[in-house]
Amino acid sequence: MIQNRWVLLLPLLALPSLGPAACPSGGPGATFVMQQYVLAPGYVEPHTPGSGAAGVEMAATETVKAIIGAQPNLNRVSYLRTYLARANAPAPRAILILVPGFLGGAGTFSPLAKQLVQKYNGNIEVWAVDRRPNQLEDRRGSENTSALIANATNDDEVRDALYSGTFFYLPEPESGAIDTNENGEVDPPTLLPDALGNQTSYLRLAQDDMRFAAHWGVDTNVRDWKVLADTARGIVGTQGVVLFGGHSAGTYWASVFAAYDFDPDPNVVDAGYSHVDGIVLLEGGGASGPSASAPSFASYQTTVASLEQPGGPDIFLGSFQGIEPAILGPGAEIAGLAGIHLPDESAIVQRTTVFKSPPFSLFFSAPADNRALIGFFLDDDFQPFTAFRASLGFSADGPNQFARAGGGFGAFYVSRPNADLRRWIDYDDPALPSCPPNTFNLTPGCALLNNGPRPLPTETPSNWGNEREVSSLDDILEIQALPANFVEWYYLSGRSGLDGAYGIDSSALVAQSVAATGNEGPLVLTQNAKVNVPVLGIGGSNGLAPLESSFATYLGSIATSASDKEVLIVEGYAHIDVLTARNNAALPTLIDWINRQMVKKLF
Amino acid sequence: MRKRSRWLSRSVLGLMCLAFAGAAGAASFGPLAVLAPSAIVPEAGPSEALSGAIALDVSSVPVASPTLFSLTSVSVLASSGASFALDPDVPSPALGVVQAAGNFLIPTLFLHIVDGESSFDLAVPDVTGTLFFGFDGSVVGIVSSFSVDSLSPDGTLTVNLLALVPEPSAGALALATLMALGALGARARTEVSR
Repeated sequence: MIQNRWVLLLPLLALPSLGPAACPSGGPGATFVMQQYVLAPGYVEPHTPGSGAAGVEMAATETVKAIIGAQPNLNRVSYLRTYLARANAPAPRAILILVPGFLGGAGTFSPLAKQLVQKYNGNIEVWAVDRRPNQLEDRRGSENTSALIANATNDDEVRDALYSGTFFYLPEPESGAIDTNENGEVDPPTLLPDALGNQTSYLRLAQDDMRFAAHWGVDTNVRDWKVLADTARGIVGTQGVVLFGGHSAGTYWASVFAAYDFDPDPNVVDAGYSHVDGIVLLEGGGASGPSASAPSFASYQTTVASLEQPGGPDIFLGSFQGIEPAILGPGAEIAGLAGIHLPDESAIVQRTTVFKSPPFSLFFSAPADNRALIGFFLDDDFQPFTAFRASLGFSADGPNQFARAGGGFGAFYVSRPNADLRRWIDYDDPALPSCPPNTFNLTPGCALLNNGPRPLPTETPSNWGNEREVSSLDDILEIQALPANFVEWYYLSGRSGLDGAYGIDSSALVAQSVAATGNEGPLVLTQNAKVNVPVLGIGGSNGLAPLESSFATYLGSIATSASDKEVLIVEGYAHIDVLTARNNAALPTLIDWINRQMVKKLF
Repeated sequence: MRKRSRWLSRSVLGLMCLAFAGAAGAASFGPLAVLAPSAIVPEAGPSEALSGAIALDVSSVPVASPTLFSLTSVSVLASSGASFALDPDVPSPALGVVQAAGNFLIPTLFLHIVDGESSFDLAVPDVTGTLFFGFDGSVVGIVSSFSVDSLSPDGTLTVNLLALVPEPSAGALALATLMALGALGARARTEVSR
């Protein structure tokens, strides 16, 4: 009798799903881990289209309108809510708000969020935020492809659906030099109805389409997230906990949120840290600074004014090491769908013009199947940039040329063609090659390297220890083509770069602003030294924060007591593994820390 | 019923505390034996009796103000054969706060359940109950009642738990039993603090 009842509890442990509806699919009383993409009113930044601020609001361009509608309101905050849907469930006792890192979308947090919510049986929710430009990603191509795949009855229809998405984002050149679907003719770009009712292909933003984002710097971002923090507080109550964190560059955002003074009155402080009960830094050391070259108030205003003007400095990152995020993002969506639905076929995006050209062709020099393609791009053994690495497994069915670390790259393998397609060995496959018996610089190399002894605390942080393979490629594929996707297509660099020069302390700028205007001005990072909430830092020995000292600068700059500063370094984890690992080794420490914050609120 | 139970608990506990004059300090207690009427009670159908033992730490005794405590061991067996233990993967699976009157809240109780060939982890939010203190401030008993959604037509399962020190003085045992039974009747699970 009892046995049956307990067995029936099992579904709540492992049934993730995603959709806009809050209702569980299992009917009344059912209990499932759910995800919901939420678009909520954010901070009303007056220059932003939709603000209604007379004489200040900037007009949306036709491209923006075609993406989001004729009357766009971009003062919105979006987040991926991971929660347990349960009829008549009490409110969660904790909500963890997380900010993604460089070029990252909210979807990057999905595996960690699902594991946390599942482990807490719904007594915690995770809200992974997307920065504002995510609203402007033209996802029609991948949404249409997903819909076509859902209705497909055979592989030919799935293939056609994927070609449709490919031709939407990555059209063939009219020269006929590239024949992605190998049908012997130049295929036209896929056209789909846009928000204005016109038939258009991929609407990619130009810098001048986002001039209003000259006003989307730290101030606007943290005010958006304060809306979320206060909403979360309303849900968990005064005896619940609201935690704020980030991954990678998201740790910068978490620390500036805590350090911000939201009240413009010089005599009144409304500090960010007072709105939360703790800070979580995942694979990043938080903010530091300011830099000695931080601009004056007058210079700051001049730069903002120039960012606002058509033809002004770049608003968002157009290219990173030659990779255009506005191509990488949609390409990843189609590649993710292809990897899920036609995993063993020749990688579709690898047959497009963009991916046949540098720099993408350097990453994808060996023809691979749809599944392996994503593995080659993100795996710690093949991705040169440490910031993009997860430990997904390996590919050993062809030559791998070892490239030493240097020039901003970590050591990595360059995959070379075999006679067929390169394929992927998953993280949990016992066939993963290790060294020994293999040799790291001789093909095929090894998935599991020993990066040497742990550096001394006084030494410059560097990777160390035995690497581990912990993240599932299937989980990564699943995240690519959802509203909360993996890649941020328009990573703001203009105003964010300006604000970043002040690091964690803009007191000098504020003083100049007060003298000139009477209020604290456009960037009020004045409270860092008073931050007194608990902080947990989690790093990976194969990532960007491999030692306790990786967090030392930030932890040394705040007022939190020593006993409330904690750091965990997970040996063998790469930069993204702390978010994507199955059976995440960071979870016990994170849960223990959250438990202790929950209990503190009861005193 | 609940008011009467609380009055009784507070009165007896007050007398106990008055009689105590020891120094404060952390202490471990247990094993406390899980006794009748401990049971899993479905909304419909027969109950399953619980047996076993529980141990706990209190960071400072006697408890004169809100105090950290934690269950350090749960070894409970249902008459059906299902067993309940603390989740070994969570470093603090049963961390809570106990008030001077003995009422406690564990924000999330992390359990590991083995039921036949199935085993799984289950977190139970907002577990409330009462610790009972002896004349020296030591814990002589614990009572708790909490609910779990069964996801089945049986609806909510209510877990009633009573555990006492195995061989306390006759007086302490009598007092603790009396208070525990009263508290169980009051369904401590409704006293969720928010």
